[in-house]
Amino acid sequence: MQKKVKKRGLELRKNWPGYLLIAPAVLAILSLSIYPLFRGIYLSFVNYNLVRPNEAIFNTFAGLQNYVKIFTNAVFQQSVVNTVKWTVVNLVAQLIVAMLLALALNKKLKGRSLYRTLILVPWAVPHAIAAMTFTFLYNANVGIINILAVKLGMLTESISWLGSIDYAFWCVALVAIWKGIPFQMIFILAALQGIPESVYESAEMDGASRWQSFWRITLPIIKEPLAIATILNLIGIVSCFNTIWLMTEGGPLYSTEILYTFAYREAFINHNFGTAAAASVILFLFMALFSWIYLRMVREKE
Amino acid sequence: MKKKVLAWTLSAAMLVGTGTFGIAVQAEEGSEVSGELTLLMTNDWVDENTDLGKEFIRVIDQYEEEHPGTTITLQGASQQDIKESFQTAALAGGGADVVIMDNSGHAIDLAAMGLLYPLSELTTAEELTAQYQEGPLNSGKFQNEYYSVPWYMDCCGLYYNADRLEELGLSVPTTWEELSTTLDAVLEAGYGGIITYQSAYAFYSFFYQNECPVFDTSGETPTVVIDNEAGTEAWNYICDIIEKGGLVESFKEATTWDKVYESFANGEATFLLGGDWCAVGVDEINPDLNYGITHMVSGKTQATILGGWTWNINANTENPELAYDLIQYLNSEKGDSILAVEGKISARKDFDYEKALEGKERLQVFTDQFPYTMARPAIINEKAIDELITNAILEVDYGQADAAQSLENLTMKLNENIDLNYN
Repeated sequence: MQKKVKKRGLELRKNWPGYLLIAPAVLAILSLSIYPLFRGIYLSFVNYNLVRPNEAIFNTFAGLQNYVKIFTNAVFQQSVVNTVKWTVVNLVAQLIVAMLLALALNKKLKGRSLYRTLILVPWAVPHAIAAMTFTFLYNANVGIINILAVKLGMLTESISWLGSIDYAFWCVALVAIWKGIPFQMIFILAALQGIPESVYESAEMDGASRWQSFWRITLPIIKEPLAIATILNLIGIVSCFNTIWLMTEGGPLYSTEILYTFAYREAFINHNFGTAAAASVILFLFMALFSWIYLRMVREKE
Repeated sequence: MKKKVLAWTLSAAMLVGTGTFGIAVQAEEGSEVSGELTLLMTNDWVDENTDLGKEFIRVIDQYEEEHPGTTITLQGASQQDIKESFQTAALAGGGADVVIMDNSGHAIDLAAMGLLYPLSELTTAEELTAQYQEGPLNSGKFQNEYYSVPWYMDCCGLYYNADRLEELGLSVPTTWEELSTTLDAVLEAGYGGIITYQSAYAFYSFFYQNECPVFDTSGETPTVVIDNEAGTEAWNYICDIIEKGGLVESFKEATTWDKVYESFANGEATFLLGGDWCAVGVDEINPDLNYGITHMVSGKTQATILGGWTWNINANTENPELAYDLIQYLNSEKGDSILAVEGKISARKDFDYEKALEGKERLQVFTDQFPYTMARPAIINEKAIDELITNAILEVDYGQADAAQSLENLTMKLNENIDLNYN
């Protein structure tokens, strides 16, 4: 029993070269991730209005005041609703399209490798480039979408898609969906490729339709990798800042404001790092929940 | 032994003290300052592929040659990010020694955060006011202390599509009433009205034209006066233009200036409200467009809003004297060639406007407007204030509120903002 306990210990003397080798990475993680995290949590509980650094109240304990301030802020409330809507819309759309594409690309098609490569292109395009390209496509004056829609008679006059409180959210979401699909698809495709062809052949011999094969064979087998990919994707969706900020800056009238853009606005426009940190902590809780689910899934799989 | 150590220590301290004093004297004497400096500019100024960048870098090289032992490193940032980039680095105790800033209140925010070096340590208020125009200088004034040295200035003008006005038999509007009736005619003919940047920038002019400063900044704490009689009148005028469809569709997405140029250059908008830089943007998109630029329309009085950029010295700099010397050099006649590339106008009082506008006569309207150009209110978090005013304009544009409701909401939010940052 004692031996077992010893084995589980750090065994510093014996393993010091290993610990030495990982030390730089550990230090980097501690300074670049752990410290900012705790600093952020700390800031959310203090008065930290950057433009009032000489006030006696600056950097003093604020209790839950920053949280009260943001929860009573109409823009924050709207950003929470938008974050949930943003997450659900992106997740569902990406999952469905990625699944369909993966199923199609799992078939023996002519030029399959080319299609697989092409489908990965959106993933490789930087967020800033994607945002700028789509902004141009949506442009009310020179955007191809408006030009085509007007020429085809679908619109009588050009619409400012990104300037519309009704459409801006969906237009930006479309860009995020377009960029997010390849990531999800790669995971699904990899899982699909692990299913032996013989399983489908046996099912076919037993008279199973394609739909039944999908529900009874494919989905149960890829369930775990699919869930893991979805959770990872979810973290990316919730933390999507660049696309939104570059296309609409959270506007018009906060119709595309999510928690991330709200926190940025509080920090860099209103200069209130206390409330910005409080909003970031709320965002962190969202992320932590998804990460916890992900880690549990990985552990269960192991 | 102890005495010996003490003697050596004192001697060393005296030597160091004398040396430091010597350096300080050398610095005070002016031209002998040297050292290393980092300048944070917007990307255009440090891009060797642009005429602007080429000329700027040439003048910097010239300064280095004239000041042996001085090394200047140029850094670039986008126009949208420059303040955030500098602020983040300066808060961490670093950052470029000198940074340029839009004169729309950024310097005041940074000064309030204690990130800018007070100019009183380097020069006197009298010297600054003797050297520079009042408006640009005051855009960097916080709690009676100057923090920014003005570089170049501009103001908002009225661009008009000359062919279109001629086609409709309309003359160029010069007053509120004329602008309103001209817009009616333009809209009735099926054309678009006004385009401008989606911010409070151009709209401040209408308040100033009606003798409403939006904020009264004469006291210790600014007071919101946007809802006084003159302010309400100006707001109603703006809302009347919006409600009749006077702002083109593209205004709703005009969060960058390039969308403003596009709208006007492509013929969507008949009028554009913007500064001298818009001419370059419009010409690049449609060199064949026949357009003119005139004074902003007048209300009770003539007024327009100030624009331009300023130099700011980082509070963390180790060489403020050198930083100020470089700024003075770039602001002198030796640096005028940089501004000449795009016909920009120095904020220096002795600047030769005629020489700068040679071949760019179209831009003269902006210098003609300088006598009645007014700076934005000198208030902490001006960007947040700007956002509130812009959102109120958008609420009217989207039909979510009428003039009275939006003004009431706006006044309340502006007061909340002042309360948060001053009281």
